[in-house]
Amino acid sequence: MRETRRRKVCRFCENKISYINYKEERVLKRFVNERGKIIPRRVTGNCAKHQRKLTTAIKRGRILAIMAFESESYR
Amino acid sequence: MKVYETTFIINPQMEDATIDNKVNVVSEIISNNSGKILHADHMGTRKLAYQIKGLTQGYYASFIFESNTDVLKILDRHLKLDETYLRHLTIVYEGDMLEKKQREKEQAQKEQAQKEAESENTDVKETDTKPVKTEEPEIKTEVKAETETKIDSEPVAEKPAAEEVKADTEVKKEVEPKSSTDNESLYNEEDEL
Repeated sequence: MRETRRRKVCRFCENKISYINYKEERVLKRFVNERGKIIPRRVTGNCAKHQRKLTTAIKRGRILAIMAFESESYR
Repeated sequence: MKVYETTFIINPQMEDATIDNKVNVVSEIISNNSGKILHADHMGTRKLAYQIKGLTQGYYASFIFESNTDVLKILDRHLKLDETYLRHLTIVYEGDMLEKKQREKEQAQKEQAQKEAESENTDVKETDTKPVKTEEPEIKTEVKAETETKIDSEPVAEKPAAEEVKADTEVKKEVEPKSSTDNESLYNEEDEL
């Protein structure tokens, strides 16, 4: 059986956020998995524009030790 | 001239005075080289996502400033040479926060200018009426009446302006929390992921 899923809407578009701050860990960590990898937008439902901004923000955060480059996976 | 944002981490295992000094040195570098600091943010000690030189915490500070490209070289050199700066990052500032602040500033300036203009006008009128008083005693009463009405009208004219300003600030206050709540809604939707 096929599930008919509701199409995800970009959260940054929903909240009308134009600038993603690389210092806001609380926002950025939502879009990163346990290992610290950036989650693809087909999973999060972000639009292309905001995914681009998000990735630069996360990468800037990594330089400043706000985000982790990688963390050990739980096994 | 572009607007830049530079953020850096300082080794927190020093005295507070020396940390402050390290932050001030950066701001001086910017301002001494024809740069203009628009916003300073001292975020304080914060946990690092990974260890740097065996440290788990770092003192964060950032400046948003407007400057030539010359400043960036000097700044970068300074931050690289001093080992107490653990990390630094300078980017072209793209946030909309700055625009809002500039708009607010401009609005405030306009309002002030209006107020000053109003007060000047009233002053001029008063000075005009004074010599008339001394010359012709008969008109005195009329002048008095005029001045009285003016005195009455002045506060009435000024009060609404003040109230407008208040109202504006209130609106701004109301607007700002809204954005934060929006952000919070962002944070709370974590479970879906």
